[in-house]
Amino acid sequence: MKIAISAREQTLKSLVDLRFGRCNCFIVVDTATGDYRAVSNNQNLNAAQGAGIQSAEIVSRQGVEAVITGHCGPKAFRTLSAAGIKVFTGAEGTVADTVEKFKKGMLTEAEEADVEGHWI
Amino acid sequence: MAPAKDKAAAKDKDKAADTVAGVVAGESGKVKDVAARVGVTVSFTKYQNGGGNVLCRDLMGPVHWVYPSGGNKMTINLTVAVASGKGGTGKTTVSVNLACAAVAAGYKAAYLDSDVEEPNGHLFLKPRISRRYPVSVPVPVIDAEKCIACSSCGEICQYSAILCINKNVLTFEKMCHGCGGCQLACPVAAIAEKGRKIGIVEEGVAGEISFVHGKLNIGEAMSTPLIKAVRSAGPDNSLRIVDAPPGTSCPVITAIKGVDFVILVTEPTPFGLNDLGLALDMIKELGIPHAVVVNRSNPYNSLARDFCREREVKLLAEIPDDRRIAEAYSRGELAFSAAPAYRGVFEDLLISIEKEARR
Ligand code: SF4
Ligand code: SF4
Repeated sequence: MKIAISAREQTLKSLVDLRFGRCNCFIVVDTATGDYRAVSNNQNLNAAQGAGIQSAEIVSRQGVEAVITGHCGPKAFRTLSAAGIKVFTGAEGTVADTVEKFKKGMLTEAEEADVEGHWI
Repeated sequence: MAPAKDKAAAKDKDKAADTVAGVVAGESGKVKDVAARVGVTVSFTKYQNGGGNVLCRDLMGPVHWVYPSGGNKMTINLTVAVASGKGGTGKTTVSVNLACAAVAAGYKAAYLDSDVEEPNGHLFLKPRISRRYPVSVPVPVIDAEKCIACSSCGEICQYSAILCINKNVLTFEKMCHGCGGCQLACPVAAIAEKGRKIGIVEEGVAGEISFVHGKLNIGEAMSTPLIKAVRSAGPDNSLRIVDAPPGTSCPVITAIKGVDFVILVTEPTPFGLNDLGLALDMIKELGIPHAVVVNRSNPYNSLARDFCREREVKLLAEIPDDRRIAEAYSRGELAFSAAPAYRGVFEDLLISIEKEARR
């Protein structure tokens, strides 16, 4: 299963970026093989609005089934849901740890946006 | 002097005042006659205004304009915006008092509050609202039956307001600028339009002032269409005073674009002048004639005066830092009626604006 994690840097050792729409990049991990790839999100870092929507589009193009991040706003959540992507919020620590937690089923799926847009 | 005579004199004096306010152009002689009888000196300044009305400045009060006969208002076609680099400088104080000075001077005048996020002119003018209508922006509606999920709409939208994902088209109405681009881009005409309400415009009268303001819905980010609606309301052939939103961004530019003259209100503080500088840059870019009015001014503080000299911008008036004005403001009263001593400030400002705008 392919998942995307919002990250500060482009490696597995990087910390999870708590922001979904305005994270530096996404680490796309294949949980079966452990292969990973970093996908840049920096076109969005400076977007005045709609960053969450654009990010959701970026990850959906990667064909992921789940997104793991710190917080997710309503517009991004709606876009991800429409794309059939599950959202897990409240992640922290490194990307590698987060992947492990995900595999063990220790993360909870978000049922709605957990922050208002532009929370940061 | 016998009391009867006193009474007669007082009556004459009243009559003189009435006459001053009532004569038409060319009849200044009559005013002088009456004035001479009751012992008041009157001097006249020729003041050309379309129909050739005369402005007379007498010694009984600050300034009186002479109305055309029949009590009709003088017509004028002038739009003046009152703006400021930051909020709370006294923009509304200047706008509403200017509107009062204008009707007192015999103009047909309108006050248009385009500070739609926080309109507050109504607190002072206390208008009677007679018309109320919503303002909407067009947003796309998707016909899912027709849609072939080609993604063209999402690609053309500059505002991430529409997006085709997983064969679904999502719209984010609050982000849509209503440009119609998606509708044009859709190859199968699956996109129609509906209106999304962003606020209302209210029109009415406050005494003789025509009153218009816009109220943006709470939490609404799209304000420019509402500002445009406020700007296009109100009577023609009048002195239209536009109370602009504070700052230097899109809403202000929408409010002041195309006006004849802009007054920038500032306070003589370093913060105030910094923001005034930004506002000046913006206005120069737009190429609109403008001048500065300093609010809460005191004779010993020359910061604003120096600033205007440096930036080579005209300083049209200084409104004194006076408790009476502040108190009137906090009670929601007009300085024009609560502190009559300052009427002259606004009346003179009006004259200066007229002169400047006609250059
Ligand atoms: S009308 Fe313009 S702004 Fe609105 S969704 Fe369509 S393309 Fe985007
Ligand atoms: S452009 Fe038209 S057909 Fe294509 S995805 Fe958008 S709504 Fe559907």
